[in-house]
Amino acid sequence: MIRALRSELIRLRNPSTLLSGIGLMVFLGLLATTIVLVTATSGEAGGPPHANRVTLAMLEAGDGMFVGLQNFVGLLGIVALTVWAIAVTSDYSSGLIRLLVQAEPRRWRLLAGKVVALTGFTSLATLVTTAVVLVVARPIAGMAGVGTDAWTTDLLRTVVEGYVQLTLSVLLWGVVGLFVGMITRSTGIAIAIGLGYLLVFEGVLGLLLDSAARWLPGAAFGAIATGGTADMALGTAVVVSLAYVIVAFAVTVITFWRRDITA
Amino acid sequence: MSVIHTDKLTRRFGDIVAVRDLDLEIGAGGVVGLVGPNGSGKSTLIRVLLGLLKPSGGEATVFDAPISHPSAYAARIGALIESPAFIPSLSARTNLRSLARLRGISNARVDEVLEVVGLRDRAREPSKRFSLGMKQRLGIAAALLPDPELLMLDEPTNGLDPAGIVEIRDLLRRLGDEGRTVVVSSHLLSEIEAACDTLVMIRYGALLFSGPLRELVAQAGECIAAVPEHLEDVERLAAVFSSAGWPARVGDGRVVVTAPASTSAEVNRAAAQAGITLSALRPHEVSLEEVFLRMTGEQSGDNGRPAGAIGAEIPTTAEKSAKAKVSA
Repeated sequence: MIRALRSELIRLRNPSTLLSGIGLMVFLGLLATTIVLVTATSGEAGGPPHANRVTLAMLEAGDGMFVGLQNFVGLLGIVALTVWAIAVTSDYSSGLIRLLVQAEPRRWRLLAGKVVALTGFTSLATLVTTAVVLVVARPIAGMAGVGTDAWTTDLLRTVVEGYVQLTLSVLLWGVVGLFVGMITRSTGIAIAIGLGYLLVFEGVLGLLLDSAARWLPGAAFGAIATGGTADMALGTAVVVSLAYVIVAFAVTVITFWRRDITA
Repeated sequence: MSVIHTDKLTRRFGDIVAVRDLDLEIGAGGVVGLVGPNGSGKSTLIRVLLGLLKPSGGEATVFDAPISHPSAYAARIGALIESPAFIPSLSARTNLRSLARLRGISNARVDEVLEVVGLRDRAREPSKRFSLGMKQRLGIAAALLPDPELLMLDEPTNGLDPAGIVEIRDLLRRLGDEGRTVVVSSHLLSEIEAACDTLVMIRYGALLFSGPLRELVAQAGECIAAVPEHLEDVERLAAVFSSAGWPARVGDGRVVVTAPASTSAEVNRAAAQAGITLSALRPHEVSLEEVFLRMTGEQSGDNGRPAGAIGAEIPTTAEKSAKAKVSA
């Protein structure tokens, strides 16, 4: 598995992957933070229409600098979904999978190496995003008139907690990308299915299912990023997400193990 | 020692039988040519042996290990299957290093194989800048990475210029002479003829011939080439020979008759009796291409494959070669 990981890391060090993946995540993180802070008013503050409303009090709390990231975590998740899906589908579309499986026929090792490498990549991307947001959130808040006095209280704990929750949530989106990528083996179809589900299908289901919608993957992953919501506690969100991940991994492993390499 | 052994190996894709009850044995050392029309099952056979495809029936071993456990022999095999596959934005060296890491191979070996295929000076360039021929060389370098005892190359000379083809041919010969087993599939029969000691010929996934190349050519029988004085007589001349009981075929303004050189006088007489004057009559050395076309029905595999019942039409030679042994 270590060999597969080292091999995968060489391919992930591809500058275009690094720059586009991390760069896009940082850009979206900044965008989310800026929108939430700039649209803040004395009453209700900004935020996506379908998400929990963000109040000025929330923004001025100790973890206020991460409220934008937490509430728009789906955007970062989509980047992770795309990167993870492409990591799988590009092996098939390029034909590289032939060389990889021939060199290491124990396919679970290849998959494990890929998952660990992508986990590292995603953790790095969210770390850079968190760091950039940490640096720029205060000046933006200043311009938007959002108080930041409480932000420095217990800063280290806030940053570590915010980073871990954010990373965990984004990684879960990545696993969805891995799953869809393995099933479809097509970058375009994988991304379309992922985005379609997350941006459209889950929203429609949310309207139909009402309170039961909190059990859907997107809602559970989002609840982890915000440290729990009124609908779902953090612990429950982790357990529900874990169930989705186990199923996704099981299907991915079995599919990869059994499928012929015809690429 | 048997490097590859198959016993009634079969691989189906739905109704299509890509490899059909294939019995094959390839010994250690030498260059083995794997030939057949397009769609005859060459690539499928290689993929099944490498563990990329699971067989639908039968059994096979590579280095005496069952193909259901390819990890038992993966480290001893290098392969190039169809077009070479690399990450375009990564350099040739980085692409190979990625594969070397997976196999636990040192970076020094990466530079060695780049040297062997003549890409050492271009190693830093992204593979997307490579021509088809250079990509092919890079693919061969990847196959050579594990210093393999068995090398399986599917169309290795694709995209190479004539000088490149000769280089690769020499490389294959050298590897074969070193005691490695090189299985090379190609539709360039002249290349197979020049590089290979032994031949495996398949059509519709079934074995047509397996054995020394010279044996196959000898099996085709002695031939005589008859050139009519007037080109327009060539078809009529072929008909004359056929009606006299000699298998004849037309090509390049001449008629090639399957008959021993000792019958030249009779051949000449038959032509004269039909009123055709011959401008040349000489012994004809049969090429692999001629044998191939004769055995495969002179038809492209893509067009000739019968729908559904693939492999239903198995020539007599296949029956004769039911269990042919290739000892390279």
